[in-house]
Amino acid sequence: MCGSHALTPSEAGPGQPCGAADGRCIKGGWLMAAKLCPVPYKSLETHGTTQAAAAKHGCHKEGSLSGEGGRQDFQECRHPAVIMAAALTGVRLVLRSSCCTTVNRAISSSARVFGIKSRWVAPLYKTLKHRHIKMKSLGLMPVNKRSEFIEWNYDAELYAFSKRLQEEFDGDALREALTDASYIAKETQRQQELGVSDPGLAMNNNKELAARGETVITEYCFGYLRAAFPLLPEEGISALVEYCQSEDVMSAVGYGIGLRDLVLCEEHPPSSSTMARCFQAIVGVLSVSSPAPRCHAFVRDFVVAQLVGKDIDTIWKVENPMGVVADILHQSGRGEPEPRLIFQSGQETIQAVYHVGVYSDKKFMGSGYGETVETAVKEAAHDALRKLFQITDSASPLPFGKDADVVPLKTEANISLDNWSIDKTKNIITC
Amino acid sequence: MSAARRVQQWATFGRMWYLYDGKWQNPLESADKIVPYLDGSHKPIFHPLNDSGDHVVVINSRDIALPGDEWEKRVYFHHTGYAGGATWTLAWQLHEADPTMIIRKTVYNKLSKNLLRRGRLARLHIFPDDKVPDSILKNVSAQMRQLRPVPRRLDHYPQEELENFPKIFDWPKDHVIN
Repeated sequence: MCGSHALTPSEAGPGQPCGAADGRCIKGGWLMAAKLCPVPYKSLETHGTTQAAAAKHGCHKEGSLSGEGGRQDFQECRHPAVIMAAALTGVRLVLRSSCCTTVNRAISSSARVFGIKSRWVAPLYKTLKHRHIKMKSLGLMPVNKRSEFIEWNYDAELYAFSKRLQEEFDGDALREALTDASYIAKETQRQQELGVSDPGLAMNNNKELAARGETVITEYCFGYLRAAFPLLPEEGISALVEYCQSEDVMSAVGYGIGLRDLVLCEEHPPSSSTMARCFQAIVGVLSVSSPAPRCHAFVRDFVVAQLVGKDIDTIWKVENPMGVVADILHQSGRGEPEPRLIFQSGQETIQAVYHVGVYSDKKFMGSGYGETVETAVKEAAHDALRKLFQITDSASPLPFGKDADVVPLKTEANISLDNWSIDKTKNIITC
Repeated sequence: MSAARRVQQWATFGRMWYLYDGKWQNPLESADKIVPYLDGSHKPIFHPLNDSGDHVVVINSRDIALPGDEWEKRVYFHHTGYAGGATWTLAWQLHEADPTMIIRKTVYNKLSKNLLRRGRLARLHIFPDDKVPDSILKNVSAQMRQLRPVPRRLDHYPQEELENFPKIFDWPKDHVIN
């Protein structure tokens, strides 16, 4: 029975069913039941029948466990000894019930006693899981805010937030930056509903700080990108800055630095516009509480870094590239751009490839590919522009870290696209 | 994906069309040269799951040159599947029946043995002479170098050049050379 404690029937006295010194047996079930039973363990072993044990206890009639009557008695008498005895004779019951016409359902009970989960348990869990997934996909599952949990500590979270970013924030200003206007409105309304006529909420929303942060980001991005792309026209720089300031980028960065649970707003999770505003407000707080270089490094590492790996072509789209190339060449006093076919293959097939180069005064400007000649010419013009503006794939990457600290921010605007000429770029130092 | 990236990929995976002149070339060695072009393994982007094979247009397949006595000794076996359906055709007989067959069979045997084999062979276009339809010739974008230069026989030289060629002595007028 209990393999871990050697025990002979003679050693075990009443109330001490197991050989363990403190009377506890790890293997639970059977012997614990026997311990609770005042009937001597020895008698159970020697007699070996349920009927004998139950009869000694005086709550069972001899021979009544068999068949339908036995089940009834079993339910009535919940004594542990009886349960254990039922378990012991489970196999015998199976044998008997196989002979009877009536099904003996007491067997499932004995299975529970043995620690075997019945056949309905796994299907139940499967159904629950299925329902869970379905409700989640339908959006019916309530999303719990982290702040609704009992051990939520907002102060500790704010402290940890600044430590994670390794920045020093002004505590009150940080709270203000994370407070959306919708939260204050909702809180005021809630308190009024509860009967507080004058809620007296001494909270400010983050609108001012967001505006401040937006200015900081814009100014730094302009200065940085002008220095990083000295030959890119001002229109391109503006498009890049606009991209950096876009709601998508701002909110993505906000989510990325873990503002999701810290923002105080009406909706949950915070909408992208709320998140974007909060991130700008965080930059605004940093500009107040930290020196400018530190704030600039923050903007560079979190906002400007979003440009890494992006094609400038996809952010700043030049509509009529060949016209722009022609204008630039005209202003530079060069010859007209001339597209020439460099290579073609599979002209008669649907997989035709054309390689076109753009030349001016027989000098190569750029080349592009395409499935038609028109596409290839357009791409060649784009390539010529990329070469002129030095934003090709082989151009040096954006400076970050120590390299970026050395680069002086450029306040004056780059050359605009209308005035762009090759001669004007000769005096521009590129890094 | 920006337009530049899209056309870059288009150009990378674009198919080339190579022209190969089979005149006086050994078809067995030529197949070794043609097969990598058909399955694309001559490209740096090659991958077994990557459909990057090129087209090869072989011209003048009637003028291929088998080495030694291969024309008489090389035998092409075919079996119809019926009893007594086996045939053994000599190379010169097969070449007479279809002047593109020897080079096609050679390339087919040297292509890797998988399900892509027939598709790759379909990119091999063989013509017995230099008359290639325009629809195919327009696609051609490059030429494969021949394995060996085509030898020039004495009767290929123009008469004028032969006469002006410096000679050590003149044959007697009544001397018959051939």
